[in-house]
Amino acid sequence: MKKRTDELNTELLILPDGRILVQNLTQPMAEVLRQLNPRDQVIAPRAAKNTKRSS
Amino acid sequence: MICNAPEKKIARTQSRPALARERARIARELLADCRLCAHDCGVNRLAGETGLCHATAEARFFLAQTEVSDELELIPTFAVALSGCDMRCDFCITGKESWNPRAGLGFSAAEIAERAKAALADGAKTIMLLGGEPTIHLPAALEFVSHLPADAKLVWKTNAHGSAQARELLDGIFDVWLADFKFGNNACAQRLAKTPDYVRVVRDNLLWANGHSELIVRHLLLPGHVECCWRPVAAWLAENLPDVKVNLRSGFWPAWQASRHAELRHTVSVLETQRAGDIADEFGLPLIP
Ligand code: SF4
Repeated sequence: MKKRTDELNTELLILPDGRILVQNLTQPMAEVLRQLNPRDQVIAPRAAKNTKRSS
Repeated sequence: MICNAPEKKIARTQSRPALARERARIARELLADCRLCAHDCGVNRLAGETGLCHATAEARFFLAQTEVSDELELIPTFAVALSGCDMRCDFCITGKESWNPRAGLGFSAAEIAERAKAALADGAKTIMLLGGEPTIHLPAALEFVSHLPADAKLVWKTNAHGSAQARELLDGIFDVWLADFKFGNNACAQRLAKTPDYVRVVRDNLLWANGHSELIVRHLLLPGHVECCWRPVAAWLAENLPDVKVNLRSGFWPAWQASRHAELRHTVSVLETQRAGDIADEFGLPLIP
């Protein structure tokens, strides 16, 4: 299927040990991940990087 | 206390959009004898011939969106990914698009620049051009810059495998070079990415980039390659670019054709990540998140 380039795309890989690897993280997805694990020190500052539209 | 080094300011005699427009014209002419990357093919891409990257003169793109996964100091960034690459990393996370310059949609520099400007107005801090590898589409990349505001902060995300000719055309255009140093030796580069003479080419590009713009070096930890790849990369950076910021990434996942190599069939272990961190400490590298 042809990929549309006007949609937001993030890829996640969830490992058996609970770690989540992320590619092309967008701010809305960062916010979802932050809510799942508010103590994640890698995601928290990225979720906080709001653009005006998404804040 | 950690003191931030002053930002490098680029000196230009022309405005950046004008300079980029002029360079785009030159870069397009050079496609008639393409030597934009270190493969030095010498093919006429304007006449439809293709070299090792398989790219013609047409640039295509597979992603244009605001992202927050890059270095904290660069995000949110409006990332534009051009299709095709001159390296053949079997573990490429975007292998389908990076190995195929015909993937995605036709790249209209003016249209994507409008989207980039909207992203800036929306709060994006930088605009990042990546791939695949953007060097193989230098004319389109420069044309894109010619449509962007002169004061936008621009990031050139590269595999650092470009030629001296490409560097000259890029001089004074991008504020930040975000460059990969993937392999610490030529044998791993040849086996995993079919790229000969890798280490010399990357070192030349990093030394040049550090003298002409702000430089951030990225190293993606590969499972089983902490000692053979990360250690020599860390040692060289400590000796030659001791003040350059380094982002050590441990988020490798076995994508694309990684399973061709036994050691790349799984992710980087916690132990390997710790060992890599110890090596960074040993060499006193200024790691950034
Ligand atoms: S960009 Fe590199 S690989 Fe592609 S044709 Fe030119 S020299 Fe060859």
